[in-house]
Amino acid sequence: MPQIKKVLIANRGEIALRVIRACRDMGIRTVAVYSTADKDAMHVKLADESVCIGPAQSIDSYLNESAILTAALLTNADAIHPGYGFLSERADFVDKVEQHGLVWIGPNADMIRKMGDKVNAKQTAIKCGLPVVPGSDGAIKTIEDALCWADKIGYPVMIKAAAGGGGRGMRAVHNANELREAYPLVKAESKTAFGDDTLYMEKLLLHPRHIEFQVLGDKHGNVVIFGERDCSLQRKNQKLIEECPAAVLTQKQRDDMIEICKNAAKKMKYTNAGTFEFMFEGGKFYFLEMNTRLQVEHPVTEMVYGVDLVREQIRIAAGEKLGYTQSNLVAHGHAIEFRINAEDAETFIPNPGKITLYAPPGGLGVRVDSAVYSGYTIPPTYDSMIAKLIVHAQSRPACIMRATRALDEFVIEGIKTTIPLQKELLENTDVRQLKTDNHWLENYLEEKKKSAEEIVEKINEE
Amino acid sequence: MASFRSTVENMSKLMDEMGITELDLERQLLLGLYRKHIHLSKQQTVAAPAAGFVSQSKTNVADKISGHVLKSPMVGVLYLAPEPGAKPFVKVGAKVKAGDTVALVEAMKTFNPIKSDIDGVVKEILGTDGTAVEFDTPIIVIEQVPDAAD
Repeated sequence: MPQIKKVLIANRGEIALRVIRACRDMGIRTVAVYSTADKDAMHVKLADESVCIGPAQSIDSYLNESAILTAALLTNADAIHPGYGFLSERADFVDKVEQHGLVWIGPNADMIRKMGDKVNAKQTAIKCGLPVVPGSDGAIKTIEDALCWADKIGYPVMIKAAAGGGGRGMRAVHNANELREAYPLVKAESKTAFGDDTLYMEKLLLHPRHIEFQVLGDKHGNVVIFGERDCSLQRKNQKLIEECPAAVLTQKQRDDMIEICKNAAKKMKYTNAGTFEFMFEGGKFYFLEMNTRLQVEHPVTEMVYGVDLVREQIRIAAGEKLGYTQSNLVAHGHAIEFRINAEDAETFIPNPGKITLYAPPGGLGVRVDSAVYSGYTIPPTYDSMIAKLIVHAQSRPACIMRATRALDEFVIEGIKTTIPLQKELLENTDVRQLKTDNHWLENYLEEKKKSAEEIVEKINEE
Repeated sequence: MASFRSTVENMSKLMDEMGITELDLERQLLLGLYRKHIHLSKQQTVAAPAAGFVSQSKTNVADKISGHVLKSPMVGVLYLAPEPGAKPFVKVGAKVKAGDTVALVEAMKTFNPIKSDIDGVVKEILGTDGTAVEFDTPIIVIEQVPDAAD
C-alpha cells in the first residue's frame, strides 16, 4: 500500500488551495507549482514548497507534463493531485505519473480513457446500463460525416469536443448552415484548448435540467453514490449556481438513479472520485458525460453529506477502504454554490485587475472557497472564477434566505464581479420555484437585454 | 539480548540515517511465546522543508543584477559542465559568442543546452552545478561587450 506523505498539486486558484487544505488537515506535506504570472498567488504562499514551472501561458506551465513531473521528482513528492481542468483527465499523463513511481490521486488511466473521453464514455455507459441521448456512434471525422449524422439524429444537435469539458469546445446548431459554420470553429477551439480536435455529436434536448451524481469508489470494489446536484442555471454551458439535492426529484426518482449509478460504477470498477452527469427531461434521465475527476461544485455535496471529498480521494489513492456503505450516507438539509467570476455582471466581459478590498461573508452555514485576497492582482491569463460561495441550511427556502444574506455581505472592490447577477437570480420567482432549465438563464439574460434596449429607445424618442 | 531502550534507540538512529519516518518491528522470542511489537513514528518531526527550491529570494536577486541574464528555460537539474568532472562550459571572464552552450538543464532524462543569445563576457555565474532550478531561475550573467569579436 503506497503511503502518501507529500502531494504535488498540479493546479492553481481555489482548487489548488482546496487540495492543500485537505492535505494539511491530514498532516501531508504539499508542493505547489506555478507559472510566472502566479508568483504572488495564494496556493504558492500556502504550500510547504513551491516550484515555478513555466511562463504564463498554460500550455507551457500548468499543461507542461514534463515540467510538472520533474518538479514532483525533484521535491520527492509521493503523489500528484490534478484538481479539475488542466491535466486532470489526460490518461497519457496518468500513465507517465505512474511510470515514475508516483501515485495519481484520481481514477486510473484506463478509466479516464474509457469515461473521460466522451465518445468512448457513451459506449461504456450503454454497456453499464445508463440511459443515454441519441447521437453519433463515435467520432465525427469530416463535415460531410457531421451533416450526415445531423440528418439522422434530427436538428437541433450539439457538436462537442471529445476531450472537452467545463462548457468549452461545444456548440448547438439548429440547421445545416449553422453546422457548416460551427464545425471548423469548434474543431479549432478544441485543438487550442485541449490539444485534441476529435468531435462528436448528440441530439439537443429542448428543456432539460442538468442533474449529476457523485461517485466514490475504492480499490477494493466498494462504491457509494452521493445524492444529486442540480446545476441547471448555466450560461454558455458554464454553471453559475449549483444545488444539492435537486429539489425537482421525487424520492423514488432519486433512489432509482442512485441504484442505477451504483451498479454502473461497480460494473466499470470505478475508483476514486467521479461524476455521472445527466440531462433530466420529462421525468427521464439521459447520460450526458462522466467527469473522471473532482468537480468545481463538489462542495455542495460535502456540506449536505458532511464528507471531505478530497480527503476521500487521497485515502482511496493510498489504497484505503471506504469504510462505509450506501446506507451510511445521510443527507442533511440543502446547499447552494454560487460561482463568483471576475466579469461584468451584464456583459460577462472578463475584468481582471487588482482587488483593492476583499471581505468574504461568514457565519453559520457559509463557506467561501477562494484564492484571492486584498491587494491581489488577477492575471488575465486564466479562468475568471475567483471565488465559490457555498451556503448550507436546513431547507431550500432557508438556504435561499441565508444565501441572500451572504451575498449581501460579500465585498470585492476594485474589479467587477458577477455578485449582482447572483443576487438578482435569487430574487427571481422562476429560480425560487424551480421553473428553470438549462436554457432558462440565457433566455432570461436575452430578455433583460432587450427590455433595457427598449427603455433606452423610449427615452430617446421622448 | 539488547534492552528495549537500546533497541528503540538503535532503530531511531537507523531511521534518521535512512530518512524514514515510520517503522514497524516485530520480533518473536521463546519459540513465539513472547512477541514484541514496536511501532516508531517520527511524522511530527519532519518539519524542515526540503532544500532545493528557494523561490522567494530568486526574483529579488534577478532585479538587482545588471547585465544580460541567461535564465533556465525549464524546471530541472542544472549542470555547468558537459559531464561530471569535466571542465565547466564557461568561467567568469570568458568570452562567449551567441549560440555558445554555457550550461545544461536536465529534465526527464533529457539534457537541454542553455545557449547565450548575445556576444559578450561572462560576468557572473549564479547557478550551482548539480542543483535544482525552476523555470526562469537566473543562471549566468553576460556583459555585452561592443565588438567582442575583435
